[in-house]
Amino acid sequence: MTAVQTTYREAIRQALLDAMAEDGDVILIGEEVGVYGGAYGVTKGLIDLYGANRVIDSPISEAGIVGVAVGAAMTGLRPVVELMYVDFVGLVMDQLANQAAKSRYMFGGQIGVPMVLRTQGGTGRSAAAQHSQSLEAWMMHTPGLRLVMPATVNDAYHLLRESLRQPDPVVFIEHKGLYTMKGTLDVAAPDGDWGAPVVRRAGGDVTLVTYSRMLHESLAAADALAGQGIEAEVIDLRCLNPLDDTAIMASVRRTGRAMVVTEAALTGSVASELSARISEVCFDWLEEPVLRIGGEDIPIPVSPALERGSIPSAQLIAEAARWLVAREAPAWA
Amino acid sequence: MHIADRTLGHLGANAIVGGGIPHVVGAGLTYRNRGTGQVSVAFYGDGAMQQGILYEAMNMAALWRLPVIFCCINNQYGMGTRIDRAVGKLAFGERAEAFGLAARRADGSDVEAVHEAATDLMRLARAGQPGFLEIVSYRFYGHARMDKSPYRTPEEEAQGRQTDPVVTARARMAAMGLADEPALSSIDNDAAAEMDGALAFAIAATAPDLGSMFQDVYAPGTPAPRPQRDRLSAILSEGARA
Repeated sequence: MTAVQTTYREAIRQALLDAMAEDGDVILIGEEVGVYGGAYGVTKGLIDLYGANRVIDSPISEAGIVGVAVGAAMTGLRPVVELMYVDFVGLVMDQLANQAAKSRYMFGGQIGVPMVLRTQGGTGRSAAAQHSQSLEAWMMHTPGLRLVMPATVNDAYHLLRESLRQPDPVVFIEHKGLYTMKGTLDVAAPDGDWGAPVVRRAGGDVTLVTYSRMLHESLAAADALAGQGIEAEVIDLRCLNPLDDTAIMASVRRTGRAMVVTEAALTGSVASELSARISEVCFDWLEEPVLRIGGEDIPIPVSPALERGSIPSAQLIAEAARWLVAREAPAWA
Repeated sequence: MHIADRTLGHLGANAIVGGGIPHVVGAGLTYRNRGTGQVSVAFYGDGAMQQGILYEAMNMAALWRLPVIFCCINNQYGMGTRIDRAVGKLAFGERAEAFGLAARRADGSDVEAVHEAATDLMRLARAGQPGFLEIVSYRFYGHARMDKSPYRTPEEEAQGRQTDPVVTARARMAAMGLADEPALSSIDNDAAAEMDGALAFAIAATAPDLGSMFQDVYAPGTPAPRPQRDRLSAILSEGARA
């Protein structure tokens, strides 16, 4: 019996622990990852096990520490950088997008950058406009990076282990609202292959395509819809790059209706990209327009009520799906 | 622009000013953790002395006592801007010392002086004291091919070109009897022939196959970017439509 009940946070910690035990070249570097144990407690106790040469507390120099990780990766280590909040990636973007992502290409395949940038994003803690964003579109728009956003406890473990086996830089974005979520971790059984979406709930009336915390809002919406006679299929992307979209297209061709549900500000988002892909590939099968449900195009407000109201809820997803599928408009329409 | 030779330990030339400097600190971290005894060196110009990333890198190298040397080749010009038009205080070594680095300054026209300073800093770096070396020199020509140097006088350029380390070393070697004129000319000829050969090779080469543009975005054997024509075919070809 390999399955245990644990949390998303513990699953990530376990993945780091196991990777460090297996490979002496794996190092952690970041602000407060050592003595403090990580701003969200993910790296707690690792410095006691592996020492300060492998669990490296850095100064507040985000661009610098990602650059150091790039150099360490180029020369043989397997660095895992923790960027405390994805919002700080603005400071890091040259090192991430121009250095880590492009070195293999610019140098004719001689120099790979096998590093993992762990960070976390999203709303839920009233942490306001500079600590709550969903910036995955910036990474998805950058050739050379891989991009992973786990939504489940099991994926948090397995996708991080797999990220640490990749020969290229991986951005691994956790969701701050999921750290305390409980679930089943089975170290012997991943939810799916690297780069392959997983159908989390089967249904024949509409396909909900989502990832990260919005998976759980989408599943709650699907439950509500089932009570109204609408069966939604819910697909969790898991990896945004690589992304084998075969399962998504097969599902939409079957249901004829698609909604893409994400937390990020909508315009120019991952939701927009997925919507375009579905529209191109499934045009002849679509009964209705592909709907995007995303965050409002505003900075994240500090007020808990406004913060909650600015991103999709299970209720909004269900209302939109009901309107799309059954042509029954919600009260606000 | 992006030359690299991994076999020489060279981690690639960067086209973002200062962008590659923290990689050298990362390499120093690898050498420390693996105990290889190697030293990593960042070569950059006076322009990069004004980039913030340099100071993050210097601080971490000093903090972690890594075997790293920051080597600034101060050729007085960043594109068209002379260094005194870009900084409020020219004493670069003082900046490095403020971070806890050992600082040295050497005359770039004197090969032996540079070697001596570098050797000294290498010894310190291996002992856990990272360093900074400013090599004072002069940029002989424009920033790029079309740059006619409107920001400086021909007299200044002519005088600057007198500080050529090759010319100086050549004269010194001849005076010391280490090499005679035929031997030195032979080196010149070999170098010129190598460059001519490289140029001829490049001119004679055919343009690469279009499919090769997708190579090395990611490692071989991992999912590669999808070519546009493949995507369009998957959408529009017979059989792809209902």
